[in-house]
Amino acid sequence: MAKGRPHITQNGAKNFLRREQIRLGFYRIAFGLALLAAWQLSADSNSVLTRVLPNLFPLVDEYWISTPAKILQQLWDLTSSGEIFFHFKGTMLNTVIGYILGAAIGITLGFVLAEFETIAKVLEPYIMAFNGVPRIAYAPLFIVWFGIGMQSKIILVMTIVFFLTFINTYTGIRGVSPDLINIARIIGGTKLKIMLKVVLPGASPWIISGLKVSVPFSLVGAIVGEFIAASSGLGFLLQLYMNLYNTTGVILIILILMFVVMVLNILLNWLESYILRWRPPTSAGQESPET
Amino acid sequence: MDTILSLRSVSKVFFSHGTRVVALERIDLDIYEKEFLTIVGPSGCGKSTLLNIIVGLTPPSEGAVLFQGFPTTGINTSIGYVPQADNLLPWRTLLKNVEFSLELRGEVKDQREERARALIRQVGLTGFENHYPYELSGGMRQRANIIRTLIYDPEVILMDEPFGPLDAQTRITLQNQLLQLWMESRKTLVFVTHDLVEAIALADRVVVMTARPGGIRSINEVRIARPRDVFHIHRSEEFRNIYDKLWEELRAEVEKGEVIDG
Repeated sequence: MAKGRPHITQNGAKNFLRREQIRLGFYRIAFGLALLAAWQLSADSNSVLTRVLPNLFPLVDEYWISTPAKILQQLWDLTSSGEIFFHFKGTMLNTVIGYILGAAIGITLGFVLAEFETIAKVLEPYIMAFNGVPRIAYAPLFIVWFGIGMQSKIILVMTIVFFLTFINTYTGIRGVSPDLINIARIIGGTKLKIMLKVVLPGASPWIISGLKVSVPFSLVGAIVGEFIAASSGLGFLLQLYMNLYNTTGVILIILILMFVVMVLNILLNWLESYILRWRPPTSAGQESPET
Repeated sequence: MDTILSLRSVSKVFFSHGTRVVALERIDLDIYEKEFLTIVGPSGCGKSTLLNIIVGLTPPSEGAVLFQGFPTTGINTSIGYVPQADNLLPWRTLLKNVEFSLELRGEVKDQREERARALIRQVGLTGFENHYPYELSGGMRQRANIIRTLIYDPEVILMDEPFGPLDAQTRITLQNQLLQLWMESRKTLVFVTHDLVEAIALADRVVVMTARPGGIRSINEVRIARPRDVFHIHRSEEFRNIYDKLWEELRAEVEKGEVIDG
């Protein structure tokens, strides 16, 4: 995008950026609507195109890809019966509780192990081994241990979020410039103060990046858990629709999950740009650490 | 004059890639209270290592550092340190960066803000209090770097080529500002530089270091009256004399260093 933009954004540049944003938003919505229209028209046996070109349309049988209209209808049915809220609440609760617990433990342990390097080095191969296995492989164990209720899903989400936040926090803290820490030591800061005022903010880009990448994965954890064994939740519903060959229902659940991840991502992006407002605008978001 | 810091036969040996490198060899130096001491030497002669030893970031391999007559171990928080890279905290505004030292030392908010604002005004940074470091020029950041140390009033201040990366005009402006600040506070200042003009213009005494292994080649008093004007200092005869003498010494050391490196 606009290369060579001056670091200190002037008013003109700000207006330019805002207009660019609005235009971009417009294109995005237009693209989405076009996609929906194409979908509807290519699968709908009652569409205008089907009447004009009966040999060509519908291109794809509704059975395989459903249609946006049918999905909306299904959403309406599930909403008015209240059924969807029950399942939605179940999944979100598992996700949020698991996410918060996993992040809290991950960040704390990241701090502790960054402080005790020897322990970190001893544990490293074990952590990598546990983290390397796809989390779904642990799901059966968790279900045997913690039952088919909420607990097993929360634990599954926790383990996923824990590793991502832990590794990011640890890396972020190790990456804080020793020069900054030395300056604070020379000035005479206590260990705790240096931790809070230098190390924590210095590692914050990494920690936030860990929190961000964890969001979609935490939802994956909850859904996978419900998929394997559960009596409620969006994953359970997905499994149910799949067994019934109800593509409309399956796609509806997928769309709901997409929506949830998007909303959470927008919220976290806001939080990130507020907390990391000290970063130069040209590099914000681009230089953020990757996992 | 009272001695505040003494280096007693300080040596520093590094091992890098299996070879033994003598960075500093038997340095003896007394630093007097309230003096402005500058250290010049060819690059790689261990000037920065010497400062790190004085403040206690690295221990000497041999010898001792005495502070007010007592040997020191570990970091000496009575000594302030202004590094070459500004090392401001990127997540803090200018004002918060200057306040940082007082915050670490546990001072109340009202007082630290007042003192920070006063110093910011003194170095001409008023209006930039709420800017983040990336929004400041190199010269502005270096000023902030210096007043962040001045604000807590350490007994001795070490500066490691603080004006190194700046352009010529900014350097002279900051040299003048530094002299003014020093005249007001009259702290002991140890200032490392590779620029001989700067070393003479600022100093009461100039230490010339030898090429690696770093040692002291000469210690020279500068008898130019204060307050000095850095812009016109080259007109003074005393300046020209000492400059010519020290330049000969420095050139010999630089050439020696090049032979060793080559």
